[in-house]
Amino acid sequence: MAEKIKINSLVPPTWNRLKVNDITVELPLGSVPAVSAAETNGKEVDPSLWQIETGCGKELTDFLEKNGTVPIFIKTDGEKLFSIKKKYDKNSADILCFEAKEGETLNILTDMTSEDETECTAILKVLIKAGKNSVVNLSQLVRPGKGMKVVSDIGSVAEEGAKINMIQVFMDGSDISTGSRTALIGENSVAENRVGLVRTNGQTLDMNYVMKHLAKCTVANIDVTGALSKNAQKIFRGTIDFVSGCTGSDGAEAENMLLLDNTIVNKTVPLILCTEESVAGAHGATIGRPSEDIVFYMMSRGISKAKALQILERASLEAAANQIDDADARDYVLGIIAEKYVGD
Amino acid sequence: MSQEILNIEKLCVSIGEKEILKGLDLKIGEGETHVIMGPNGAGKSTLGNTLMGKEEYEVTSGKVTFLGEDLLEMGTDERAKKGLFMTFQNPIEVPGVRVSEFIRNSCEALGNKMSLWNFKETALEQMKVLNMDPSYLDRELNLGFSGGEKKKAEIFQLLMLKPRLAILDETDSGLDVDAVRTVSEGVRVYHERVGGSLIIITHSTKILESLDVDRVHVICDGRVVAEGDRKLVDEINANGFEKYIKA
Ligand SMILES: Nc1ncnc2c1ncn2[C@@H]1O[C@H](COP(=O)(O)OP(=O)(O)OP(=O)(O)O)[C@@H](O)[C@H]1O
Ligand SMILES: [Mg+2]
Repeated sequence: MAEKIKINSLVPPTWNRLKVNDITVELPLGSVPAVSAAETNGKEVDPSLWQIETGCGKELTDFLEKNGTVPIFIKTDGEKLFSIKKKYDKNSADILCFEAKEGETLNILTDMTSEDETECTAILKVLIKAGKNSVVNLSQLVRPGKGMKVVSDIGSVAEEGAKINMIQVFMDGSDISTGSRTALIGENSVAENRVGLVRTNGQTLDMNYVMKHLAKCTVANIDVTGALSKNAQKIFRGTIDFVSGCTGSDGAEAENMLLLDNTIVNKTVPLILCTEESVAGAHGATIGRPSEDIVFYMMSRGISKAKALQILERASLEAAANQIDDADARDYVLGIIAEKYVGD
Repeated sequence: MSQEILNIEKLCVSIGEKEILKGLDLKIGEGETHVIMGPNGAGKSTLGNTLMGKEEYEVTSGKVTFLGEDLLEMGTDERAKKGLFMTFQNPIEVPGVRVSEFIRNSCEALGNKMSLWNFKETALEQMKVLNMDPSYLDRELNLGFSGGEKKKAEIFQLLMLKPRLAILDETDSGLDVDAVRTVSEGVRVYHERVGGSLIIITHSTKILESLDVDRVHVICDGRVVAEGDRKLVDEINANGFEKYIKA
């Protein structure tokens, strides 16, 4: 049995000019956990304790509840990298919860992949509570095989002085829906969403990132770098929401997209919502064909045009991966990228 | 003259409506070092870009043979694979692509596939010649490089790619005295080790100090207007181009 749900809707529902507000995905009920409490030393928790809003939205939360997916709370071993690397082979759904206590640092890496022949849907929801002056570094690598549909959803809360760095690398493969919502509830809290993406061969990527500034002097940054080719479709929604009272806050979103040919669909909806005056919100975008000078330069060194574009594509993934704080996690992700592009 | 490597005959090139090269002739022999001088806007870089196959440079007539083949029929990457190379007067910044990755890909494209270890070893050896810090390998190509560093990075590529014919477009301009000497040494090492031919476009003599110059060509208004041996360089430095510029 499958259920059709609406995901990644924008906060003001009126914003549907680009038809970005009624995207649905069909998700299979009966999805089983891919991550067990035992393997992660985690424990099952009551969902009511982890009611954090996410980027994909309420309908996904309701779906997971109906599916009977039980959240697992994972206690990591201090700063030591906690990684979950999964090769999916069946319809799966997980909710993983992490909490950084005051002053703690957490390093988390998730890697989702599958064999090309496997048909399955993988839903991963990550919930994060970042306590006072804590740091949470979450890195996600998504590299689905041809038959895998991925929904990656994040919800996080940052208390006073907390820092949440989320880095997502979406590689070539199949369709992906992703969302992230961060509530900056404590003064001087900071959040980053960095994304490196490649979409080709008709693949879609549907993204919804929300930064909600709820306290004074909060800083948020959404930064998307990517390359699209061959009928790829990408929707990026980036909302920076300054709630009244968040004086002195700063929110920026930037997009740097390379369109490698004319067949692609690239939709961008940056939203800066503002009920507060003394804040700074900025949106910047560089979207277009690769520079002819750069391609000529590369070709003058013997590199074919196709290879030149591939090098630039790889660079957009690495731009995000290079920002991963934990060296092991960074090397792992860069290694996978290198493998992919050397293998081609 | 030794075996001919490049032969340009009556080359006419336009950019848009404007004719820049107006029947230019030039012959380069294997292993020779040629110098091209000429006033600003004469068409020197246009010649380089045309030989490298830049799109907006339209060849309206004339012929270019490189190693016995019609160069103008080839795509830019094919020309490089045949052994043609140009240092850019204004090297391009390539964000996100490390120097090492860029050059390794180039070497591979030119048929010199190296293991990472091998590549590094070769690269460090060439960087030593150029007094370049090994850390440049990990930097994004030309991004945030100073003018002089960009020029050095071009010569580094020359040493790594070992072309049959290299066009150096004002590689010496914007360099401090020591850097010119280093770059000049790099060019000398290339010439000695690889035995390739050189077309050196320059406004000064410093870069020529450690090189044997076979021939000097003066380009004015899209044509070669004077040719001679090394002494021509000194004469131009003393008297300027005035006598070559037609009224
Ligand atoms: N891409 C271009 N678009 C328009 N005009 C161009 C272009 N490239 C060159 N030109 C023009 O062609 C003429 C010759 O330029 P070129 O760069 O070849 O001169 P140069 O001899 O290299 O001069 P310099 O010594 O200043 O480097 C100039 O008038 C220049 O403005
Ligand atoms: Mg020039």
